[in-house]
Parts: sequence; structure tokens; C-alpha cells
Amino acid sequence: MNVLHSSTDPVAVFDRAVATWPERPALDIDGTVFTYAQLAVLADEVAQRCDAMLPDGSRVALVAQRDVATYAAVLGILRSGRSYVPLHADHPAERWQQAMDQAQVAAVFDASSTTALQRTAVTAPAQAVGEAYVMFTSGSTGGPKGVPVLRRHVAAYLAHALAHFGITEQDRCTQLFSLAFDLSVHDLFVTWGSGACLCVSREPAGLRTAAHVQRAGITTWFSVPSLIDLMARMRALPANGLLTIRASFFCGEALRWDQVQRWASAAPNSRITNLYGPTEATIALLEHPVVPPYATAGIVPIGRPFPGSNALVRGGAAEGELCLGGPQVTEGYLGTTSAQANFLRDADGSVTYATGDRVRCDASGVYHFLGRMDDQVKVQGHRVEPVEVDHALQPLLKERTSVTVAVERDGVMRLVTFIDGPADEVALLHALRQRLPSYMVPEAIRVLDALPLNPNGKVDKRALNELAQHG
Amino acid sequence: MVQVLMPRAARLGMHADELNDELDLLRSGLLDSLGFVDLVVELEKRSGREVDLMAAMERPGGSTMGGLVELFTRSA
Repeated sequence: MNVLHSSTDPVAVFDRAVATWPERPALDIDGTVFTYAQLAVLADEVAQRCDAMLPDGSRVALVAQRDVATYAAVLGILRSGRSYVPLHADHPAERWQQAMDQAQVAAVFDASSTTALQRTAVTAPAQAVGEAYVMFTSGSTGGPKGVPVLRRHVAAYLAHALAHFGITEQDRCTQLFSLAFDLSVHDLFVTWGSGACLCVSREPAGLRTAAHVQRAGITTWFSVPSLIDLMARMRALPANGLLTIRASFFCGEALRWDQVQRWASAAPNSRITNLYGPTEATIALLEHPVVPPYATAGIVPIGRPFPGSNALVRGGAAEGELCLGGPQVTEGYLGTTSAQANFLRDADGSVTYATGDRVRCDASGVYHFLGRMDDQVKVQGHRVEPVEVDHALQPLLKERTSVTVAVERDGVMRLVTFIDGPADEVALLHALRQRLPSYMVPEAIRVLDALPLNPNGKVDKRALNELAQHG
Repeated sequence: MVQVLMPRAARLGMHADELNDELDLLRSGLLDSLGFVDLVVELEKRSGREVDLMAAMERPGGSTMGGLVELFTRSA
């Protein structure tokens, strides 16, 4: 391991970069550049304010925006020994409140507010010493699940990423993930731990991304695979269109071979790595170098676990549920939720996380993703439990029942909700937008006289999927 | 364009008179990125014209209804 990376705590890797490359660019936001020294000063200011106002080791909610104050706040909160709880800027207030209540945050940092850092009314804020952040994912029991991730978990990820991903101080790296998505932690700290420049566009990833890549001279790319589809549909991925990119990482969804073909044609100078890992195992824990010859159909393997981490199929079979262990695996969710059962504790205290992903391990030890054990789907890279939509609808439906299913149409995952009885679709969709992130709001609500049942008397989701599939 | 957008706008509780030139289709939440690309593809099909969407997105107001109308008018 490089001496530079002997300690890979996220604050330590940033501080080392400040000491080594103080005048190199750390952050470029649509052409406005901040050096490592400048960003460190801003981060120190946030840390000092946290120390002056907040209990030690408390959690700070952070409105995830794309400005220098917010990036400095991530660093400052961590530097002060506190933990950040990112709130997606576009999510409804009710969703924010659920997250803040669960995490018992001591304050909210909102760069767009004049006060920026504001205490909450929480009288006994959570004590979260050693924690880096809490990320929320969709939950099957009605609300989001909070995953507390410790600094040592992030350090374990960075130890591998900084030593093996080949990013250097010459690189210019994308920051396409929202700060409320744990893959953004890779963006920030793999970039800064390497002395590279984090290139931010104020526009969220999507329609303007291709132009941003060219304007910013991006050399290192990290996104969900579905962004390849969007760019291709925009005709923004011509052959040799992304010649500056030399390393590309994909994570968050299954990577298809046809997406690899498209990407390799547009960015022929880039090596491609498929990363896999749930939030509960800190960013990513398996990797697969994607090398020619590329297959033409199917999906890319998720590869092998990082050295020091473990992957195994539950029950020791060749095919089944993927379980993960090692220094990146977190301890459990916030609060008491039945989902805690996914964290299996061994007699020696070590934790194994049962992912709910169905995989096959081939003879060479490479894992292949086959699908989910449950109904969870990925919508634009976000984990979604369709039943969470039904939980949000239930108070509005009185005696009626809703069932939400996910179908893939035109290569895009879409949610469709069925209700057994008359309903005001417009009013219900409006209400859902007040409660759920936009990617969880169904594309349509459809009213049926009755929900179809299977021979066991349960709702026939296969029949509903058929109905949803055909518009 | 209004014809294409109206069913979705109605589902979102928007009225026809809100679909005007100034409406930003992305910022208003009427469409997400993918929906926007789908709209352009549909308009290309109907008009028989192909537009440079990447260049259009670089222009101020590129994602407004007026911006899209201008995009198709220019490519005529």
C-alpha cells in the first residue's frame, strides 16, 4: 500500500491532500475552482461552528446541495467529530422529517438558509461517536430505513479504493450522485484522497451531463449504468465522444453488456469497473474489471470481494442469497425494525449482512447477480420497496387496498399502483408527491373493480404485472 | 406538444393554461430527464425532423416549452 494511504479515515485522507497539494484544485463547480487550502479553510469554519453550538458526537442533517458551502460542511461536520445525515434537496418535507426524527439530529445545515447551521428542537440528540453518516434507503415497513455508517467502515473502503482504483492528483472526477446517495462518498473521498479535482455541475445528472464531461475535461467517471441509456437516447454517446475519460466505474444497478458496448465505443480510452455493494456494506464491496471481448447480451458479473472482505452464498450453495462480511459491513439500522434480521451476528461479534440479492458463484469465485429474493427494485439506481408506496397510500384509501408493482418498459423501471375501487388518481398522486421522493411516485394509479387473486387467495402480482406491462 | 403533454399534466393536477412557453418541463416536475428525452423523440416522430438535443440543453431556457418550440422551428 502507498505510504500516503497508511491511514484512510476520510478526514485524514483529505488533510493529507491539503498538506501535499494545497494549491491544487479540489473542487470545480461549473468552472469556479477551490483549491485544497481554500476548501480546508471553509471546512474548518463549519467545524468550529459545530463545536461552538452542538454536543460532541451529535448528528447534523445536511441539505444535499451542489455548492461549495455544502461540500465544506461535509468535511467540517466530519472534522468536528460529528456525523452528517444528508437530506435530498428535492425530497418532500415529510420525508426529511422522518429521517431527522429517526436520526435525532442536533442541527440542520442548509447552505441556502441565511443561518446555515440551525439547532433542532431535539432535547436529547443522538450520540454517534465514530460515525461518518447516516444514509436512508426505502423500507418495506412503511418508512425509510436509516443506515449508520462509521468512519472505520469508510476507511476500510478507502483503503482499497485509494490503493487499487488508480486515481491520481492529475485526475478530474465526476460528482454525479446526490450527496444523499452513499455512492457520493466514493466521489468525494476517493477524489480528495488522491489529490484529484471533484468536478461538480449544479445541474443534476441527466440531460446536461455529456456537455459537462466535455467542458470539465473529466478523466474519471462514476455513475449508475442507466445514465448510459439516457445519454444514448439523447444521442450524446457518439463513438469517441468521451476521449478524455480513462477510468469508468459503475454501481447501483445491474450493468448490462449492451451498456458496456455503448460506453466502450464512446470512451475507448477508459478501463471499466463494475462495482457492487449495498449501503449496508459501505459504498461497494465487490468489483469486476470489465475487459474485452465484451458479451453482447445479459449482465456483467459483480465480481469478487475486495481483499479482507467476504462474500458467500447463504447456506453454502452455489446459487442463493448473497451475504457479506468484513470491515465495511455496518452494524444494523437505526431503531427497531424487522429488517434488523438481515444483520446476522456471529458468536465472535462479527456481523454478516444478508443482501436479499440472489447470486451465483462460478468455479473461479466470481459472483453473478441473478435478481432479488424479494420485491425490491431499482428505479434510477435508487432502491425502492414497492410496498412503501402502498404504506404511504393506505391512510388515504379508507377501506380500499392498493398494490404497487414494478415493471420494466422501454428499458426503464416504472411503478404502477392498482386500487380496488373508485379513487381520485390526481389527488392521490398529489398526496404521494408530498410524502415520497419523486422516483417513488408511481407513473400511474389504476383503478380495478377488484384486485386479481391467485389460487391461494393472495393478490396475484403476476397478473398485475401483466396489466402494468401493457400500459 | 400540448397534446402530448396534456395526459401527464392532467395526472399531476395541472391545467391546460399552465402549459405555456415559460413552463420549464424539468424544473416544474412535469417530466424527468427520461420523460424529456421521450417527449423530444415523440415530437421528432410527429414532425419528421431531427434536432440536436445536446446543443439545445446548453441554451438558456432549453428545457422550457418555448425553448423546445424554438428548437424544432430552427431545425425546419
